Amino acid sequence: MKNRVNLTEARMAAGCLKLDIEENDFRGFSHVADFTAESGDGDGNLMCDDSCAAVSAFELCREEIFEREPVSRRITCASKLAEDVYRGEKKAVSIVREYLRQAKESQNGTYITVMEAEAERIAEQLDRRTDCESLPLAGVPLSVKDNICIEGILTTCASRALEDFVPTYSSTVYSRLIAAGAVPVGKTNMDEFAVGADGSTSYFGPCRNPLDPSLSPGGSSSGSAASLAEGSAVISLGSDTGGSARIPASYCGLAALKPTYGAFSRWGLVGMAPSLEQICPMARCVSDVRLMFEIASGHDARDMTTCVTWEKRRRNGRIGVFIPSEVSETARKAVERCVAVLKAEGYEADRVELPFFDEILGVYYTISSAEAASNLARFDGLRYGYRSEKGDILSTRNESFGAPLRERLAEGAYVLSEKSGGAYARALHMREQIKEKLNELFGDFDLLVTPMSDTEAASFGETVCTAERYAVYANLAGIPALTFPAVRGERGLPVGVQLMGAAGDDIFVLETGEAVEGRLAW
Amino acid sequence: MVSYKGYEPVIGVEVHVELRTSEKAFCRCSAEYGGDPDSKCCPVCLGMPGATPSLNPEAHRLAVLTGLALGCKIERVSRFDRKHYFYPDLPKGYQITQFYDPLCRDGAVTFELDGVRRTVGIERIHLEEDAGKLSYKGDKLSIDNNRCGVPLAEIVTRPHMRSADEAMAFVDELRRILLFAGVSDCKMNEGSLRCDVNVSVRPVGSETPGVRCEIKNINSINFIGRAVDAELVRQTDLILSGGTVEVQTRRFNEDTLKTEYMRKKEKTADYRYIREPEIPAVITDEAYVESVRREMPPLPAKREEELRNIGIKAESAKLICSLPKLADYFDLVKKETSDAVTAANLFVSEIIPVMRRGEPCVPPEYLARCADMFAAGDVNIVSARTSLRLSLEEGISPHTAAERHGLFVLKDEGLIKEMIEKACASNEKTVAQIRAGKVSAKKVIIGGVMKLSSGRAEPRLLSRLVDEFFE
Repeated sequence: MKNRVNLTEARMAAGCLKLDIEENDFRGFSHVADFTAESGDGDGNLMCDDSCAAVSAFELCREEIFEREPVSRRITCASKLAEDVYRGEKKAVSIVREYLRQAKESQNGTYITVMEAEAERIAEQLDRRTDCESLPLAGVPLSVKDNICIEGILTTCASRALEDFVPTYSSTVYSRLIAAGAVPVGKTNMDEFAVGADGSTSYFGPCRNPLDPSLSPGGSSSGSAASLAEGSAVISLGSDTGGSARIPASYCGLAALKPTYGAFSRWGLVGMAPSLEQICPMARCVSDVRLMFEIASGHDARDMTTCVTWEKRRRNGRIGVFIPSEVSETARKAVERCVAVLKAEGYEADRVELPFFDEILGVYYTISSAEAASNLARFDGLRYGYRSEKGDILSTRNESFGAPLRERLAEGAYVLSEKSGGAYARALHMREQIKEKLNELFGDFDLLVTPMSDTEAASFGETVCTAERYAVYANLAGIPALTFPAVRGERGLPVGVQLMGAAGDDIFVLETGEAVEGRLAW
Repeated sequence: MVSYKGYEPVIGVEVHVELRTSEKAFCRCSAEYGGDPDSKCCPVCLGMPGATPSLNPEAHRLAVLTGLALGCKIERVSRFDRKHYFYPDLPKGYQITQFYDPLCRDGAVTFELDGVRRTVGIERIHLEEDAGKLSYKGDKLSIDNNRCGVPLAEIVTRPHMRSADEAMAFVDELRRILLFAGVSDCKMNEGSLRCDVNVSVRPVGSETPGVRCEIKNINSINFIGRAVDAELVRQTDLILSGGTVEVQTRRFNEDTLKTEYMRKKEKTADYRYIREPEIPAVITDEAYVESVRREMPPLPAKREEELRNIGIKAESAKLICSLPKLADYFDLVKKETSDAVTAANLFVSEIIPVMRRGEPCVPPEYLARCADMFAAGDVNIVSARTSLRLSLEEGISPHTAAERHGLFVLKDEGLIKEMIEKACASNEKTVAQIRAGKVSAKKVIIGGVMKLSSGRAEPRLLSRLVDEFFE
């Protein structure tokens, strides 16, 4: 039974948020000043239909919340908003204005470009339409990582090399979300050309974690995660080459899917390592991620990597659980909690080993650096962006790219050169073996459960290698991997867990994630 | 030259042909030659960030056709790779090509040179994209990106050629095959067929290969021969004077007819090849190859043979099969006429020069009718030619031309008899000789009648009537 109550009443009714929240703490959320809460599930849990309000409330007073009984969430934020819009209860324009204000006032370095005019134009068009019922994302504010092209909008990849690049085309995935009614809020900050995992390498300055601005939000889709966590967007498009969407999602208490390779069109994604990366749906809950996936996935004539089909799989009700020996307590807890829920759902769980766990980052870095060196060769100082005052191409390129990116490019050129003794070919060979081994595992198991990261959000520059080790399997093997919050770390910040499925099994992974997420107490 | 100072050249050729597709290899832009600079470009062929390539199936089909025309094996699985180098005409910083797994392998081209059959092996054919076009005006460099992404087939031969003449004959035959297969218009002056020639030298009789130099972008068959000879002389003289040949990339200077140093040849690793991650492996299955094979137009060697088999002279057959438009025209004539051999002769002498000049030409039926008139004995060969020429000039049928200009053979016995009498009257001495038994003198009378009839008297009839006259 659902009750429509205002925030304070909801808090009271649920009995879990005993905080004094000033109304003005909810700047940008007046449209959700009341929300639906379901009380009386027996555990005193608050089950909100509106995640923006709910999660913001959690974040605003997380210290208090974290000291209390676990609060479970069931969030359908995007579809709830869309429903309000097509029922005429809310205007897309008024929704997006509030999010735009939030975006402009953000102190987290979340955006490179706030798309005010574009957003208002699109929202106004939506409000004039009479068929919003057919738009599953009607009026839902969307933020977009700045390596995803939008026609007529500055797309920088957070690099000086593209500081003034305005594409004449839009990413297919983006266009599909817009066609479904989403309204773009802005282009989000990121690690330069998606190289980096802490949000610090952007030419436009670092992006901070809204849950604790002294910490990194993770990267490279830092701004996408920050926009969701700070509430300046409801859904976001990130990209994931080796955890770039899942790691920030884990550090900011969000859900993100790295889709099967080929499930999402890469048209309009400024590639860093094309064989590894996919555009990723990110949101505050798995249901929204699933909604985005259903809308945006599928064949695109402009991207040949989408010309694939996958076999329908038979399920055997077993899950493989990977917990490495040197795992942190937090990560172990995250996996174990998730597995407990799955067991309660009737799954049998077995421990498994992931292949080449010790070597995996070497394989990943060799391939991604090589491809980055190749993909970024086009920024030769003749066609795009910044030009050095010294006038020569070498200086232009050196001054265009930040040091971490330059290192990665040099690494890439090296592993492809004769001097490396065939490092790239060896990495490709290992990649094939990894794919094979994972395929074998998916013969035995419907899903694999692994940690997403060993720690909660860390300070800038702190190593994220352990998170990347868990993440890169999905990229190397082209399989879907979903993360959502599962546990709180030592500092009370959320930490995600990861579900991986066989190639093409995205919906199954998402469905399972939805079921688990609603029952995870974190 | 076959050899120079005891050294012979060893030659391999790399030929780039632009495939005749309407769209580019990886985008939907027009692949047509020319146009305002950058007027046929899009984010894909300009290599703009985020623009992904999609293989044009027509480019793939024409590459398969090229492979089949050159007797290659078509690989079931082929893949694309990126070849990296920095040059202003290359917007992505790499070229999409097929390095590790090309589409076609192991073909051969057979041709005749000085009456001897030669075979040059084809090592591989791969599909790739063209780069833009650079032009220099003073110290200013301009880039036209229209050519970026135009599909190319790169045909790589084995080092099987041993003289400039052989290299020229090979490229000529290759060009002819590609034209007949319809894969490219092969215009060397427009760059739709471009040649790089690899030359090394070694003492005649030696089996050890020398160090090779690559001469880039030679734009006529004649220059291929010149470049090979120039390189043979340069490398031989270098070796004989105690120097060593370096692996180099050179260019041919059309004014000095010599080759010039361009750069040290890059090592393979310097191109830092990687798999093109944005294009999945290309599967070319047997059924598809067979469907392409079925559509392949007949190739020139086969068509030439067919013409020879119906009695047409070898040189004529070769000439007719030098260009598809000539062979196709003659095919139509052949179907219409009862005398293909005469038609071929008339075609070679009267029509081919006109077609070569690109001037308007008579319809094939006219040529067929003209040959038929000759075969039926209605005109002699001289009149046949004349009527064809008049037909070309006046746009009328050869029959009408023969009628109007009185070119038909004279078969009127009465008229011929009158002429014989006339000829006899003016050659009394000869008549006396004939009557005295000098039969050979009849020729003089026949010649006289021919003169009187402007060469139109039917020769056999005339000869019989002269015999009868003197009986």
